[in-house]
Amino acid sequence: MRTGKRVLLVLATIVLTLCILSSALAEIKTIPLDMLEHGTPPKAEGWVEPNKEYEDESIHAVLYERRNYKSKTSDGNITIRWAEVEIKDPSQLRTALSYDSFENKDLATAPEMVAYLNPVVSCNDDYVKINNYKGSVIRQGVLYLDNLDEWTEDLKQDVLLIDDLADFHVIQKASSADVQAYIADLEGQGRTILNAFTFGPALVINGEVQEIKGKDSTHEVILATARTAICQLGPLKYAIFAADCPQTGYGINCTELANFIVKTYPDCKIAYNLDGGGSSRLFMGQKRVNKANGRREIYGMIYFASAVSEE
Amino acid sequence: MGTFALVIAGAALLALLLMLLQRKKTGIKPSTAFIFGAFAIPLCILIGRGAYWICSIEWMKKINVSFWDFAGSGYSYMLYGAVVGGFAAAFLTAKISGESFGRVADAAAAPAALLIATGRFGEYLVNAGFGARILEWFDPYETWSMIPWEDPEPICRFPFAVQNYYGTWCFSINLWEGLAAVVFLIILLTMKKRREGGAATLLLLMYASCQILFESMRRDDVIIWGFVKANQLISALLVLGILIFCWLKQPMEHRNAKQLWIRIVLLLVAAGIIMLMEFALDLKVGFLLWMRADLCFMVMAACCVWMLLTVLPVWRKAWPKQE
Repeated sequence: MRTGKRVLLVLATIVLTLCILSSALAEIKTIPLDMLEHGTPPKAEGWVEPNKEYEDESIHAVLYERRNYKSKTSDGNITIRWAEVEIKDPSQLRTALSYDSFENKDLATAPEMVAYLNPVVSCNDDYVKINNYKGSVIRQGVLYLDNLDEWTEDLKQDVLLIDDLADFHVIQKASSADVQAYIADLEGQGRTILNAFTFGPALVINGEVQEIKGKDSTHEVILATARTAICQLGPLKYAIFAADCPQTGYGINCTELANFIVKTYPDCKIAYNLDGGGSSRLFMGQKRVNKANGRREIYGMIYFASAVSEE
Repeated sequence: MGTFALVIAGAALLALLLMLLQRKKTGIKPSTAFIFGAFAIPLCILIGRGAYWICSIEWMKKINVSFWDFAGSGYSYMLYGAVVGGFAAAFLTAKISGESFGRVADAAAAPAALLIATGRFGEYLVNAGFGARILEWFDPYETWSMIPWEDPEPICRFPFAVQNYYGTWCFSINLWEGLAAVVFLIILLTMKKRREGGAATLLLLMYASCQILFESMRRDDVIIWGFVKANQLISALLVLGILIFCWLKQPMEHRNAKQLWIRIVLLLVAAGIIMLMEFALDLKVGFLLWMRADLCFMVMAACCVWMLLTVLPVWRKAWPKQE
């Protein structure tokens, strides 16, 4: 009897050890660059709190919120939510276009893209495929568009570049030549630009709130509305902010959002404004966690994927 | 795409057959039908494709698609381009056969409606012509429909719906476009003989009026100018153009400038309401936030009927019945 108990105890110890070892040895894989690769779907047990905190070996994401934020430009108090994300591999910061194509101008709803991509955290991007679009567009290493010079001098856009180490770079009031020179310079240092966005403006650079003037942008930057902004806080550490707009007249303007970001993360390296208004979308897993007044579909998403090996 | 092309080719043959069968009513010679067919097929394809290219040229240039890349690609046609092709074919046929342009165009009207209907139904084959997502539309927590339906499964199937790239069931707007074309076909086949050009003008009027609504409901890859769908704008302008054309076609003694202006104002008011509904659909009109999408579309549909009914009496006067 005692021998039987001993055998059971030894077996239980072995099983427990194996479990601990297997979890500790879970591999983090680099997700291939191809837009059709989406990483590993989040594990159910990874949700520490459903749709609020997720953790696995490759990613940790937490959703925070500030309720009753008093915006000077808004008709009433609003809620600002932000997801703080830490990843282990640069390939986990990814982008996707609706219908996996730049040429196809069909729009997708954020829920169907999220169901398809299976991200841990995701948000809308920069209204990339609208007809007559003028900008610099690179997605997952593929250059789709380079015609920034079609913007008139007074409306030149700030361009956000993300390199192969998932580090952010902003070129303010960029021309095509500026972007090309910057990319060439980075390539000289052995880096590659994998994603480029044309929207902006840059809200924060190296902890400093940028001066944002309404006449410099076509994106209604001084208007109170729903906003989405993506920030790099440090190496492989990011935040996505989404300010709500439950009805017309509510929301936040870009300067207020920039100030809020700096107050929350004084060391924020770069914060960049993405498409807002009815297009503003922030998802934790499959759940939308922001409120923006609008029925708009979107042209693409930026997302953070899990990179834990499924084997 | 290959199957779609085959379906359209088959429909073109049927349309030619219909043109021949209708020759007693329309008064054209059998040879005229064949000449028209020989011109219409290449011209509709060329101008239909060309119009799509021209209307998207800025976009095509930006994404580095040359005309030849475009020609060999799966990019779409513009139906209004094909309409221009059809009229060009009627013009050339009239010149060669010695028959009047109006008579040839009228003879081609019902076959054109048949071709449009087939083309619209054929869009199932190329995954085009879809509208809003059904589950989202009936979701009581969303702002699309006034009628919540928790399980719209029965309509999540062919022919009411198609699955998009993501597997989401979407309304088949092409079904409604096809059915509308069938109605046009029935009207054209059963209508009494009118002055030459009347049938072709009526088809164009009915098509343009309905297309203003259908274009708004479609959510697939269509040409957009700024925030306006190209076909929607062309349709509205066409209805206005047809009104003026019909007025000019009336005998001089029946022309009443005041009535024309009243009708133009009526059309502009209807177009204005449609534009307002477009903004309401995007929840951009503060005082219309209570309107669900289905109500917006209903108002738009009413405006389209309003536009049609505004022009129809002038059309009747311009092309009176003939014994």
